[in-house]
Amino acid sequence: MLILNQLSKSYGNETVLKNINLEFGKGLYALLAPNGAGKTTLIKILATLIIPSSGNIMYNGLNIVQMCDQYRAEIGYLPQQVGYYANYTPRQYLIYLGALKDIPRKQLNGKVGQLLDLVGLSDVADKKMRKFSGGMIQRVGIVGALLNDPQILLLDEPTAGLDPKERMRFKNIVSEISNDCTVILSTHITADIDFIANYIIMLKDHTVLYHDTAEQIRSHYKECVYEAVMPQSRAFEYRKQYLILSEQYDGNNVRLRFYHRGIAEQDWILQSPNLEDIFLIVYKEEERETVKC
Amino acid sequence: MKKEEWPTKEQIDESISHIIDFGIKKRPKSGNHINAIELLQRIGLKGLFPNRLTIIVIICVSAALYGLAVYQSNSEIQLIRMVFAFSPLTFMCVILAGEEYLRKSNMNETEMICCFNLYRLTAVRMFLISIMSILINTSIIFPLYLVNCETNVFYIAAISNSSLFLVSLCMVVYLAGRKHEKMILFFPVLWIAVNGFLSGTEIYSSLIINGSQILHWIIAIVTAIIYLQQLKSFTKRSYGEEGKIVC
Repeated sequence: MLILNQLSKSYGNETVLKNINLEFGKGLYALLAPNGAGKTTLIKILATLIIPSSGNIMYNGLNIVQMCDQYRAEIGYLPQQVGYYANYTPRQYLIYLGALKDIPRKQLNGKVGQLLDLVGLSDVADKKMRKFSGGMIQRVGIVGALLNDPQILLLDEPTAGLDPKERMRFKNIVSEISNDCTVILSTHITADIDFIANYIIMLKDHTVLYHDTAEQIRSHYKECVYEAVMPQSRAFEYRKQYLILSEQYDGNNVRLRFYHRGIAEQDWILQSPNLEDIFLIVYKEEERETVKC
Repeated sequence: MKKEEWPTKEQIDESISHIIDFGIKKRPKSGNHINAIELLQRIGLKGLFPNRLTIIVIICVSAALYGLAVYQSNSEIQLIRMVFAFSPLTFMCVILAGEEYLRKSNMNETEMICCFNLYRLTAVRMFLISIMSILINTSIIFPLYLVNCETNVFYIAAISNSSLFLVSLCMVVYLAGRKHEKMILFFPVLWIAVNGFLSGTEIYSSLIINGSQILHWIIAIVTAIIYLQQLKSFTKRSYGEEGKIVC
């Protein structure tokens, strides 16, 4: 069990995280927030790359900063930009990484083959990585993070720069892994975590806004997402008045999906909110209010 | 009631070793030589120096430059100046090439959270490069005796080593802090500029040109000891300065 107690991080006068309290058990936890909200800082603190300004993180009752190497042996970390030596093959790279992680060589050879199989890279295991696509590098990176059988897997925006096919493959791999360990995945792309995240953590104003299941978070916005079909000329009014979540054009008409709390008009159709709607409501509504003021 | 069977001796031994393995986690031993050997055994020279082709080229070029500077000197004073200025060249260039390669590969975060973390790797790399630099410098300096038997090669070797360990110490202290990460790239330029600036001064003349051989050996040994202690502290280090990521 990983517990964050009153965790804060500031750089000089700038606060990045403020009084974060969280608990992680087994399963997939999605850290959802826009860019610059402190996701990467939080992931780096969990990876022991950054020490928090105040508060602590306890892993099975012990402080991770004091555990250090012992804790690091329990984690797998995939940074936002996966590091790799271009002149290495995936096999060479993973054996190198495994040696640095103090994994016995005998165990390592079998494991590398097995994990490369899992991510579908067996056929390029002995090819230099300099010609690999972003998705392939990402898959090598995830194998590197899994080499030591981590109990906690930290993935920092793992799908950034991947095409839809790679993204889907990655989603499946992560979903499979999360059955056996704690996976903490930071992202600002809701599609990456839809249906696979057990819990969603949303950060706002440097602190935790929601830490709940997707269903529970959706329930907060149960009766405030609507759709309405109207001529394009009328859509202008709506754009000014409501937070538009999506627009679909159909000839001269437009189907608007928007957010509204209060009494609905007759021709509006109530919708069940999805994660993307909620993301926009949480982070865009604030911007809108600021602009209005 | 069914009697429970006693485990066999093999089962007991297996359980004991399992408990011991689980309870006493092997940690990398401190001390540069032990770490260097341990790391070399595990990841080999190829893993320790992933940019080995670049390193070989750098070693060849810097050794050739060093040899040229030493053997083209017209007088003993010039020879001493050249040896003092150029002895740390190979060391500096190899370290810088490694740092730059690491930075470009984005491997710093990945290596930092490993058991043999970035600091431990840096310590072992620096230790091995220092040994290699001493060997290269010495192999260039000692044949001077064959060219001119009046040259005091031991004095020249003392100057070479004192200069090498002075620079090594400065670099390791800088790497420990890493306040301005790209500043390290200016180290060779800074060192040559400082040498050029000081070479006309009286203090340089009395310490470097006319200093005693013993003084230079003392400087070399003292700086080498402090340097090795710094490297040893690297091998025990797990976090960057103020918790910041290194590099």
